[in-house]
Amino acid sequence: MPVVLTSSDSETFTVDKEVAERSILIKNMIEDVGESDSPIPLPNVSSAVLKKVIEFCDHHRNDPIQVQDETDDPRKRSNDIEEWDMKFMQVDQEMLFEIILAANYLDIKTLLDVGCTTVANLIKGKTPEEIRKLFNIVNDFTPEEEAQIKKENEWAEDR
Amino acid sequence: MDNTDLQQDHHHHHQIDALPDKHQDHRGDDGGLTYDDASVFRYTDLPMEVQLLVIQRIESIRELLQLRLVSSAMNALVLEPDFWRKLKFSKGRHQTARLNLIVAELVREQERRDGHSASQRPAFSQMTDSLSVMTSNSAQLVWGQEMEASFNAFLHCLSTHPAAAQGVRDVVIESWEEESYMDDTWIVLQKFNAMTSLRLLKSVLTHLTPPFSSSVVAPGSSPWRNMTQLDLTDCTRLEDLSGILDLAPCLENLSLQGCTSLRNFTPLAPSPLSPLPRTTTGHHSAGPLLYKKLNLIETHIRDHELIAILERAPNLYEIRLDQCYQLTDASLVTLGYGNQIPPALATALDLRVTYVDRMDDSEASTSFCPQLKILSLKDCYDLTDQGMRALVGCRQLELLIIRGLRQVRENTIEWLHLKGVPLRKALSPLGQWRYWHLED
Repeated sequence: MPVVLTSSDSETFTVDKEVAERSILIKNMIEDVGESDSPIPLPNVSSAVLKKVIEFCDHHRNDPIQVQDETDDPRKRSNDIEEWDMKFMQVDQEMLFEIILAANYLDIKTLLDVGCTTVANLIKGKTPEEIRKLFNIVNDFTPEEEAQIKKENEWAEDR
Repeated sequence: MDNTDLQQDHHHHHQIDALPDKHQDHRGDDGGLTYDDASVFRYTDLPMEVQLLVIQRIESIRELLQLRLVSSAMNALVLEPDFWRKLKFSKGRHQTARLNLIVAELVREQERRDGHSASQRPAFSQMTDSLSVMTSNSAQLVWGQEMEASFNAFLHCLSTHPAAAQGVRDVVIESWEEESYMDDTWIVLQKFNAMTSLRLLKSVLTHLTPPFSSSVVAPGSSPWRNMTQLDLTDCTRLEDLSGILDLAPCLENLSLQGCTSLRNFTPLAPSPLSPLPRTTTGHHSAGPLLYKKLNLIETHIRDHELIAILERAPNLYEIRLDQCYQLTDASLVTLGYGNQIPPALATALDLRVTYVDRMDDSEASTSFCPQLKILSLKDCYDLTDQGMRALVGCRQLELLIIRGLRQVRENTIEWLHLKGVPLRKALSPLGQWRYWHLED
């Protein structure tokens, strides 16, 4: 039975239940409400973003659901992304962040993983100044604070 | 609003041509990009847990630390305890890196001086000449110090963030050469109360409780009450172990291998008459010690010091004593028979005085260390066949290494096995491996 989702800008999307249930949030909502024709409102997700999210969930509709493993060392996770996912993530940065926010809100772990890895790969190999530019971050350090951190970091320099 | 609308929206706000779908390509002048524009998405607008998820994917410590320089918010994220469970400082690796840096600096310097372009590299011989001049000017020494100073500063930084300090579990420091920072670093490490393992190797540590700070470790307030492993291998200048069990009362796995300056091992088994009664759990001044693995290879430990430990360490399952030249059969006999030494043997080894008062507890198992599985005694030349045969009392011993013990007969290992010592593997005095398979 298909599920109807409504975006923040009141656009409606009809999707298969198994696609919609890639989102744990929606899955729980459906379980709570029971079988119903009424659309599920998603006030935090715009139609443009929801369209992308549905595209992702549709592509991954048959993947096994990842079980959250808290014992996993997060630093050991692989940073490899499947080719399809990589192409999927080739969007402007605003959209990238919107997708990540939506994945977080809708509780779609695989999408959140791919999004975070994409951002991490953007960060890698960049200088602090380049990272500030990339993410619109203001340098709020005094020169003294900056010098102190540089001193504290030096032991790990492997130039 | 569809995608096109979104982009138009941006153009409207920014009045810039090539924005914002190509942020990563937008380098150089900030132009009209105003950071406080509400429609510009910033990294810090992501929920904190998502920001952390991203940073968790940065594997290189160097890159992680670089992120601290981005902004104070990012700095706070990087100082989350999750990232600092394991800390590793290794001087050797850095020295290679530093050397490469010196060479790179020299190339640049040479280019500046000659006004040459990068393509016209100075001759290699010139470079090595300058390199030797620089190293002989002890420039390398100064750089070396900077490494320790920097790591010391970083430890201080972590210690001022309570959550981060509590996150540190496992610390490895290798080849710490700078004396002036050693004591201070040792003390700041004591702020990491949740540490379970500390390995300080090949470093210039001389004492565990610096004389000027005798009040740092108050009785009952041990900083490392979770620490089970302490490895001080090759701290060749370490001469005072005082306070070791005050610092880490639950120590199970201790290595003092190669600490050749140590002359007093009594702090490893504080006297039952110790003036510091404690209420905490852990090694008790009057009760059992918690040691499971002891590595005292290449130290000057003597019989009475080792025996004082053995007597009170019922959990010991691995003891490594290679090249402990001070040890005699008295240690082996104690290891095998505990306080039930056959009178003839006690007389022969002049052990009467030590044990005459201890015969009251006749129900106790013979060995003080009934769990002992691994014993290594390579090159302890003073040990003899008489002492080795006392190990018949070690009813769990599976691995025995006695290579180089010239006064022990080659077939004593077989004799021990025949007498019921469940040996699986042994290295004989002449260096022959012997294996036994489980019979059933």
